Amino acid sequence: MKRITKVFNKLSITSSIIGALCLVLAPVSAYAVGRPAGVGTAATAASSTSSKPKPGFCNGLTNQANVTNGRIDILNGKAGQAWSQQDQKLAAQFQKVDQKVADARKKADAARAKDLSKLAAKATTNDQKQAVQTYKAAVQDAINTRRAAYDAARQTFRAGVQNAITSRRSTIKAQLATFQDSVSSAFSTAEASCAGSSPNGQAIQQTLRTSLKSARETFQNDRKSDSTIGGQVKQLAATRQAAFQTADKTFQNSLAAARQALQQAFGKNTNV
Amino acid sequence: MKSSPQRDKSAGFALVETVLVLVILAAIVGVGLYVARQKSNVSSTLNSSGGSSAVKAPAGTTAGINQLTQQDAQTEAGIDSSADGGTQQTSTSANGAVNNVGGAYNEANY
Repeated sequence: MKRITKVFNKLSITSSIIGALCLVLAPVSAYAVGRPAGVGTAATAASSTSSKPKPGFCNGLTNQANVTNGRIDILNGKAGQAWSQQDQKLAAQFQKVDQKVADARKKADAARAKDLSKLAAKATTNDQKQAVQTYKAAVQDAINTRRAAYDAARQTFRAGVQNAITSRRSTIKAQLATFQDSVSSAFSTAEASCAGSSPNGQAIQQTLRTSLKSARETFQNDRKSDSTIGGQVKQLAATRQAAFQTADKTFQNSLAAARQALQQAFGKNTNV
Repeated sequence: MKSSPQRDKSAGFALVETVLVLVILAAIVGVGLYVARQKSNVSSTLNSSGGSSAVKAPAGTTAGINQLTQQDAQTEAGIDSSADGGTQQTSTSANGAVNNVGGAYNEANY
Protein backbone atom coordinates (compact mmCIF):
# COMPACT_ATOMS: atom_id res chain seq x y z
CA MET A 1 0.00 0.00 0.00
CA LYS A 2 2.86 2.29 1.00
CA ARG A 3 4.58 1.52 -2.29
CA ILE A 4 1.49 2.41 -4.29
CA THR A 5 1.19 5.73 -2.45
CA LYS A 6 4.87 6.44 -3.19
CA VAL A 7 4.37 5.75 -6.88
CA PHE A 8 1.30 7.99 -6.92
CA ASN A 9 3.27 10.74 -5.20
CA LYS A 10 6.05 10.49 -7.77
CA LEU A 11 3.54 10.55 -10.57
CA SER A 12 1.79 13.60 -9.23
CA ILE A 13 5.09 15.49 -8.77
CA THR A 14 6.18 14.61 -12.31
CA SER A 15 2.85 15.67 -13.79
CA SER A 16 2.99 18.93 -11.82
CA ILE A 17 6.46 19.71 -13.24
CA ILE A 18 5.32 18.89 -16.77
CA GLY A 19 2.22 21.03 -16.27
CA ALA A 20 4.30 23.96 -15.05
CA LEU A 21 6.68 23.61 -18.01
CA CYS A 22 3.72 23.59 -20.38
CA LEU A 23 2.38 26.77 -18.81
CA VAL A 24 5.73 28.48 -19.32
CA LEU A 25 6.31 27.23 -22.83
CA ALA A 26 2.77 27.56 -24.18
CA PRO A 27 2.79 31.34 -24.79
CA VAL A 28 6.29 31.15 -26.33
CA SER A 29 5.31 28.42 -28.77
CA ALA A 30 1.97 30.07 -29.45
CA TYR A 31 3.81 33.28 -30.36
CA ALA A 32 6.18 31.39 -32.62
CA VAL A 33 3.37 29.50 -34.33
CA GLY A 34 0.87 32.34 -34.50
CA ARG A 35 3.24 34.95 -35.89
CA PRO A 36 1.56 36.39 -38.98
CA ALA A 37 3.38 35.70 -42.19
CA GLY A 38 3.09 39.18 -43.68
CA VAL A 39 4.11 41.19 -40.64
CA GLY A 40 7.73 41.72 -41.64
CA THR A 41 8.98 44.88 -43.33
CA ALA A 42 10.24 45.10 -46.86
CA ALA A 43 13.79 44.85 -45.56
CA THR A 44 13.11 41.59 -43.75
CA ALA A 45 11.16 40.48 -46.77
CA ALA A 46 14.18 40.91 -48.96
CA SER A 47 16.43 39.03 -46.58
CA SER A 48 14.04 36.11 -46.23
CA THR A 49 13.44 35.78 -49.94
CA SER A 50 14.31 32.34 -51.22
CA SER A 51 14.68 31.62 -54.88
CA LYS A 52 13.35 28.08 -54.53
CA PRO A 53 9.58 27.82 -54.94
CA LYS A 54 7.80 26.35 -51.95
CA PRO A 55 6.48 22.85 -52.53
CA GLY A 56 2.98 22.92 -53.95
CA PHE A 57 3.32 26.61 -54.87
CA CYS A 58 0.62 26.37 -57.54
CA ASN A 59 -1.65 24.24 -55.34
CA GLY A 60 -1.79 26.81 -52.53
CA LEU A 61 -1.98 29.85 -54.79
CA THR A 62 -5.76 30.31 -54.78
CA ASN A 63 -5.81 30.14 -51.02
CA GLN A 64 -2.99 32.70 -50.76
CA ALA A 65 -4.79 34.98 -53.16
CA ASN A 66 -7.94 34.78 -51.05
CA VAL A 67 -6.05 35.40 -47.82
CA THR A 68 -4.19 38.39 -49.27
CA ASN A 69 -7.28 39.94 -50.82
CA GLY A 70 -9.10 39.34 -47.54
CA ARG A 71 -6.36 41.16 -45.62
CA ILE A 72 -6.49 44.10 -47.99
CA ASP A 73 -10.28 44.22 -47.58
CA ILE A 74 -9.95 44.25 -43.79
CA LEU A 75 -7.35 47.04 -43.86
CA ASN A 76 -9.50 48.95 -46.36
CA GLY A 77 -12.38 48.66 -43.92
CA LYS A 78 -10.18 50.00 -41.13
CA ALA A 79 -9.25 52.98 -43.30
CA GLY A 80 -12.98 53.58 -43.82
CA GLN A 81 -13.53 53.46 -40.07
CA ALA A 82 -10.68 55.93 -39.56
CA TRP A 83 -12.39 58.29 -42.02
CA SER A 84 -15.69 58.02 -40.14
CA GLN A 85 -13.91 58.77 -36.89
CA GLN A 86 -12.16 61.67 -38.56
CA ASP A 87 -15.52 63.11 -39.66
CA GLN A 88 -16.95 62.74 -36.17
CA LYS A 89 -13.90 64.30 -34.53
CA LEU A 90 -13.88 67.22 -36.92
CA ALA A 91 -17.60 67.85 -36.39
CA ALA A 92 -17.06 67.75 -32.61
CA GLN A 93 -14.17 70.21 -32.88
CA PHE A 94 -16.22 72.62 -34.97
CA GLN A 95 -19.13 72.31 -32.57
CA LYS A 96 -16.83 73.06 -29.66
CA VAL A 97 -15.63 76.23 -31.38
CA ASP A 98 -19.26 77.26 -32.04
CA GLN A 99 -20.12 76.71 -28.40
CA LYS A 100 -17.15 78.74 -27.20
CA VAL A 101 -17.95 81.55 -29.62
CA ALA A 102 -21.61 81.56 -28.52
CA ASP A 103 -20.55 81.73 -24.87
CA ALA A 104 -18.07 84.55 -25.57
CA ARG A 105 -20.71 86.51 -27.47
CA LYS A 106 -23.22 86.09 -24.67
CA LYS A 107 -20.68 87.32 -22.15
CA ALA A 108 -19.71 90.25 -24.37
CA ASP A 109 -23.37 91.19 -24.92
CA ALA A 110 -24.00 91.26 -21.17
CA ALA A 111 -20.93 93.42 -20.50
CA ARG A 112 -21.81 95.81 -23.34
CA ALA A 113 -25.44 96.14 -22.18
CA LYS A 114 -24.15 97.14 -18.76
CA ASP A 115 -21.84 99.77 -20.24
CA LEU A 116 -24.52 101.08 -22.61
CA SER A 117 -27.00 101.54 -19.77
CA LYS A 118 -24.38 103.54 -17.87
CA LEU A 119 -23.86 105.62 -20.98
CA ALA A 120 -27.62 106.11 -21.39
CA ALA A 121 -27.82 107.37 -17.81
CA LYS A 122 -25.59 110.29 -18.79
CA ALA A 123 -28.14 111.56 -21.31
CA THR A 124 -30.24 114.36 -19.83
CA THR A 125 -31.89 116.04 -22.83
CA ASN A 126 -34.15 114.43 -25.40
CA ASP A 127 -31.54 115.05 -28.09
CA GLN A 128 -28.92 113.27 -26.02
CA LYS A 129 -31.29 110.39 -25.32
CA GLN A 130 -32.01 110.10 -29.01
CA ALA A 131 -28.28 110.24 -29.81
CA VAL A 132 -27.63 107.40 -27.33
CA GLN A 133 -30.36 105.30 -28.99
CA THR A 134 -28.82 106.00 -32.40
CA TYR A 135 -25.37 105.14 -31.04
CA LYS A 136 -26.67 101.90 -29.51
CA ALA A 137 -28.29 100.88 -32.79
CA ALA A 138 -25.12 101.72 -34.73
CA VAL A 139 -22.96 99.71 -32.33
CA GLN A 140 -25.35 96.77 -32.55
CA ASP A 141 -25.35 96.98 -36.34
CA ALA A 142 -21.56 97.07 -36.44
CA ILE A 143 -21.38 94.07 -34.11
CA ASN A 144 -23.91 92.12 -36.17
CA THR A 145 -22.00 92.88 -39.36
CA ARG A 146 -18.71 91.89 -37.78
CA ARG A 147 -20.13 88.68 -36.37
CA ALA A 148 -21.76 87.76 -39.67
CA ALA A 149 -18.42 88.32 -41.43
CA TYR A 150 -16.68 86.15 -38.83
CA ASP A 151 -19.31 83.42 -39.22
CA ALA A 152 -18.95 83.50 -42.99
CA ALA A 153 -15.15 83.30 -42.77
CA ARG A 154 -15.48 80.42 -40.32
CA GLN A 155 -17.86 78.56 -42.63
CA THR A 156 -15.55 79.16 -45.61
CA PHE A 157 -12.67 77.75 -43.59
CA ARG A 158 -14.67 74.68 -42.60
CA ALA A 159 -15.93 74.06 -46.11
CA GLY A 160 -12.34 74.38 -47.32
CA VAL A 161 -11.16 71.82 -44.77
CA GLN A 162 -13.97 69.44 -45.73
CA ASN A 163 -13.18 69.89 -49.42
CA ALA A 164 -9.49 69.23 -48.84
CA ILE A 165 -10.33 66.07 -46.91
CA THR A 166 -12.89 64.88 -49.49
CA SER A 167 -10.51 65.54 -52.35
CA ARG A 168 -7.73 63.71 -50.49
CA ARG A 169 -10.03 60.77 -49.86
CA SER A 170 -10.98 60.41 -53.49
CA THR A 171 -7.28 60.40 -54.40
CA ILE A 172 -6.63 57.74 -51.79
CA LYS A 173 -9.63 55.69 -52.90
CA ALA A 174 -8.26 55.68 -56.43
CA GLN A 175 -4.82 54.66 -55.12
CA LEU A 176 -6.40 51.88 -53.05
CA ALA A 177 -8.41 50.63 -56.01
CA THR A 178 -5.29 50.56 -58.20
CA PHE A 179 -3.41 48.72 -55.48
CA GLN A 180 -6.19 46.18 -55.00
CA ASP A 181 -6.54 45.65 -58.77
CA SER A 182 -2.80 45.19 -59.17
CA VAL A 183 -2.70 42.58 -56.41
CA SER A 184 -5.71 40.70 -57.82
CA SER A 185 -4.23 40.85 -61.29
CA ALA A 186 -0.85 39.54 -60.05
CA PHE A 187 -2.55 36.53 -58.47
CA SER A 188 -4.81 35.94 -61.49
CA THR A 189 -1.78 35.93 -63.79
CA ALA A 190 0.04 33.49 -61.51
CA GLU A 191 -3.04 31.24 -61.31
CA ALA A 192 -3.42 31.28 -65.10
CA SER A 193 0.27 30.38 -65.50
CA CYS A 194 -0.13 27.56 -62.99
CA ALA A 195 -3.09 26.24 -64.96
CA GLY A 196 -0.88 25.87 -68.06
CA SER A 197 0.31 22.51 -69.41
CA SER A 198 3.83 22.51 -67.90
CA PRO A 199 4.02 25.35 -65.37
CA ASN A 200 7.42 26.59 -64.21
CA GLY A 201 6.73 27.10 -60.51
CA GLN A 202 9.92 29.06 -59.86
CA ALA A 203 9.32 31.51 -62.69
CA ILE A 204 5.65 31.98 -61.74
CA GLN A 205 6.59 32.62 -58.12
CA GLN A 206 9.23 35.16 -59.09
CA THR A 207 6.81 36.99 -61.39
CA LEU A 208 4.18 37.06 -58.65
CA ARG A 209 6.63 38.46 -56.12
CA THR A 210 7.83 41.14 -58.51
CA SER A 211 4.27 42.18 -59.37
CA LEU A 212 3.22 42.27 -55.70
CA LYS A 213 6.32 44.26 -54.77
CA SER A 214 5.66 46.74 -57.53
CA ALA A 215 2.01 47.12 -56.47
CA ARG A 216 2.99 47.69 -52.85
CA GLU A 217 5.77 50.16 -53.67
CA THR A 218 3.59 52.12 -56.08
CA PHE A 219 0.92 52.49 -53.41
CA GLN A 220 3.44 53.44 -50.71
CA ASN A 221 5.17 55.99 -52.95
CA ASP A 222 1.81 57.53 -53.90
CA ARG A 223 1.00 57.82 -50.21
CA LYS A 224 4.28 59.57 -49.50
CA SER A 225 3.91 62.08 -52.31
CA ASP A 226 0.54 63.53 -51.28
CA SER A 227 0.93 64.54 -47.67
CA THR A 228 0.02 68.21 -48.03
CA ILE A 229 -3.35 68.38 -46.29
CA GLY A 230 -1.86 69.87 -43.10
CA GLY A 231 -0.44 72.73 -45.17
CA GLN A 232 -3.79 73.25 -46.89
CA VAL A 233 -5.54 73.57 -43.52
CA LYS A 234 -2.89 76.04 -42.37
CA GLN A 235 -3.42 78.13 -45.48
CA LEU A 236 -7.21 78.07 -45.01
CA ALA A 237 -6.77 79.22 -41.42
CA ALA A 238 -4.57 82.10 -42.54
CA THR A 239 -7.22 83.15 -45.08
CA ARG A 240 -9.88 83.04 -42.35
CA GLN A 241 -7.78 85.16 -39.98
CA ALA A 242 -7.22 87.68 -42.79
CA ALA A 243 -11.00 87.86 -43.31
CA PHE A 244 -11.40 88.44 -39.57
CA GLN A 245 -8.95 91.33 -39.75
CA THR A 246 -10.80 92.91 -42.67
CA ALA A 247 -14.07 92.61 -40.74
CA ASP A 248 -12.36 94.16 -37.70
CA LYS A 249 -11.28 97.20 -39.72
CA THR A 250 -14.80 97.77 -41.04
CA PHE A 251 -16.12 97.30 -37.52
CA GLN A 252 -13.71 99.83 -36.03
CA ASN A 253 -14.59 102.40 -38.69
CA SER A 254 -18.31 101.96 -37.97
CA LEU A 255 -17.70 102.32 -34.23
CA ALA A 256 -15.62 105.46 -34.73
CA ALA A 257 -18.39 107.04 -36.83
CA ALA A 258 -21.04 106.19 -34.22
CA ARG A 259 -18.86 107.52 -31.44
CA GLN A 260 -18.25 110.79 -33.24
CA ALA A 261 -21.99 111.32 -33.78
CA LEU A 262 -22.70 110.72 -30.10
CA GLN A 263 -19.94 113.04 -28.93
CA GLN A 264 -21.33 115.78 -31.14
CA ALA A 265 -24.75 115.42 -29.49
CA PHE A 266 -23.25 115.56 -26.00
CA GLY A 267 -20.78 118.32 -26.66
CA LYS A 268 -17.00 118.21 -26.42
CA ASN A 269 -16.67 118.56 -22.67
CA THR A 270 -18.90 115.65 -21.69
CA ASN A 271 -17.23 112.34 -20.81
CA VAL A 272 -19.04 109.95 -23.13
CA MET B 1 19.89 36.77 15.10
CA LYS B 2 22.33 36.93 12.24
CA SER B 3 19.93 38.50 9.82
CA SER B 4 19.42 41.71 11.81
CA PRO B 5 22.36 43.71 10.26
CA GLN B 6 21.03 42.81 6.85
CA ARG B 7 17.58 44.03 7.86
CA ASP B 8 19.08 47.25 9.27
CA LYS B 9 20.90 47.81 6.00
CA SER B 10 17.80 47.37 3.91
CA ALA B 11 15.80 49.60 6.29
CA GLY B 12 18.43 52.34 5.80
CA PHE B 13 18.27 51.99 2.07
CA ALA B 14 14.47 52.31 2.16
CA LEU B 15 14.82 55.62 4.01
CA VAL B 16 17.33 56.93 1.47
CA GLU B 17 15.01 55.86 -1.32
CA THR B 18 12.06 57.62 0.28
CA VAL B 19 14.05 60.83 0.71
CA LEU B 20 15.21 60.59 -2.90
CA VAL B 21 11.66 60.13 -4.15
CA LEU B 22 10.48 63.10 -2.07
CA VAL B 23 13.29 65.27 -3.45
CA ILE B 24 12.42 64.27 -7.03
CA LEU B 25 8.73 64.94 -6.40
CA ALA B 26 9.52 68.34 -4.92
CA ALA B 27 11.68 69.16 -7.94
CA ILE B 28 8.91 68.13 -10.36
CA VAL B 29 6.29 70.16 -8.47
CA GLY B 30 8.68 73.15 -8.33
CA VAL B 31 9.37 73.05 -12.06
CA GLY B 32 5.64 72.59 -12.77
CA LEU B 33 4.71 75.61 -10.66
CA TYR B 34 7.42 77.71 -12.30
CA VAL B 35 6.23 76.78 -15.81
CA ALA B 36 2.57 77.42 -14.88
CA ARG B 37 3.49 80.82 -13.47
CA GLN B 38 5.46 81.76 -16.55
CA LYS B 39 2.56 80.66 -18.75
CA SER B 40 0.01 82.71 -16.80
CA ASN B 41 2.33 85.72 -16.97
CA VAL B 42 2.54 85.37 -20.74
CA SER B 43 -1.23 84.98 -21.15
CA SER B 44 -1.97 87.95 -18.90
CA THR B 45 0.48 90.05 -20.92
CA LEU B 46 -1.21 88.94 -24.13
CA ASN B 47 -4.66 89.72 -22.71
CA SER B 48 -3.65 93.14 -21.53
CA SER B 49 -2.10 93.98 -24.89
CA GLY B 50 -5.08 92.57 -26.78
CA GLY B 51 -7.27 95.66 -26.54
CA SER B 52 -6.81 98.91 -28.35
CA SER B 53 -4.89 100.14 -25.32
CA ALA B 54 -3.39 98.42 -22.30
CA VAL B 55 -5.27 100.71 -19.89
CA LYS B 56 -8.91 99.83 -19.26
CA ALA B 57 -11.18 102.56 -20.54
CA PRO B 58 -13.78 103.88 -18.05
CA ALA B 59 -17.12 102.08 -18.01
CA GLY B 60 -20.14 103.86 -19.49
CA THR B 61 -18.10 105.65 -22.15
CA THR B 62 -17.81 105.11 -25.88
CA ALA B 63 -14.12 104.37 -25.33
CA GLY B 64 -15.10 101.61 -22.91
CA ILE B 65 -17.62 100.20 -25.36
CA ASN B 66 -15.03 100.32 -28.15
CA GLN B 67 -12.62 98.41 -26.00
CA LEU B 68 -15.20 95.81 -25.01
CA THR B 69 -16.35 95.15 -28.54
CA GLN B 70 -12.80 94.91 -29.85
CA GLN B 71 -11.89 92.50 -27.10
CA ASP B 72 -14.95 90.46 -28.06
CA ALA B 73 -13.66 90.27 -31.65
CA GLN B 74 -10.18 89.28 -30.51
CA THR B 75 -11.56 86.60 -28.20
CA GLU B 76 -13.51 85.11 -31.08
CA ALA B 77 -10.54 85.12 -33.41
CA GLY B 78 -8.50 83.53 -30.63
CA ILE B 79 -11.04 80.73 -30.20
CA ASP B 80 -10.78 79.89 -33.88
CA SER B 81 -7.02 80.01 -34.10
CA SER B 82 -6.55 77.96 -30.94
CA ALA B 83 -8.65 75.19 -32.50
CA ASP B 84 -6.59 75.17 -35.72
CA GLY B 85 -3.94 72.83 -34.37
CA GLY B 86 -6.61 70.25 -33.56
CA THR B 87 -8.22 70.63 -36.98
CA GLN B 88 -4.87 70.21 -38.68
CA GLN B 89 -4.18 67.09 -36.64
CA THR B 90 -7.62 65.63 -37.31
CA SER B 91 -7.30 66.28 -41.04
CA THR B 92 -4.36 63.86 -41.13
CA SER B 93 -5.62 61.45 -38.45
CA ALA B 94 -6.67 58.71 -40.89
CA ASN B 95 -3.31 58.61 -42.67
CA GLY B 96 -1.98 55.81 -40.49
CA ALA B 97 -4.91 53.51 -41.22
CA VAL B 98 -4.64 54.24 -44.95
CA ASN B 99 -0.90 53.63 -45.05
CA ASN B 100 -1.39 50.32 -43.23
CA VAL B 101 -3.16 48.95 -46.31
CA GLY B 102 0.24 48.94 -48.01
CA GLY B 103 1.46 46.50 -45.38
CA ALA B 104 -1.23 43.92 -46.11
CA TYR B 105 1.32 41.39 -47.30
CA ASN B 106 4.96 40.60 -47.60
CA GLU B 107 5.62 39.38 -51.11
CA ALA B 108 8.68 37.45 -49.95
CA ASN B 109 6.40 35.02 -48.15
CA TYR B 110 4.75 33.84 -51.36
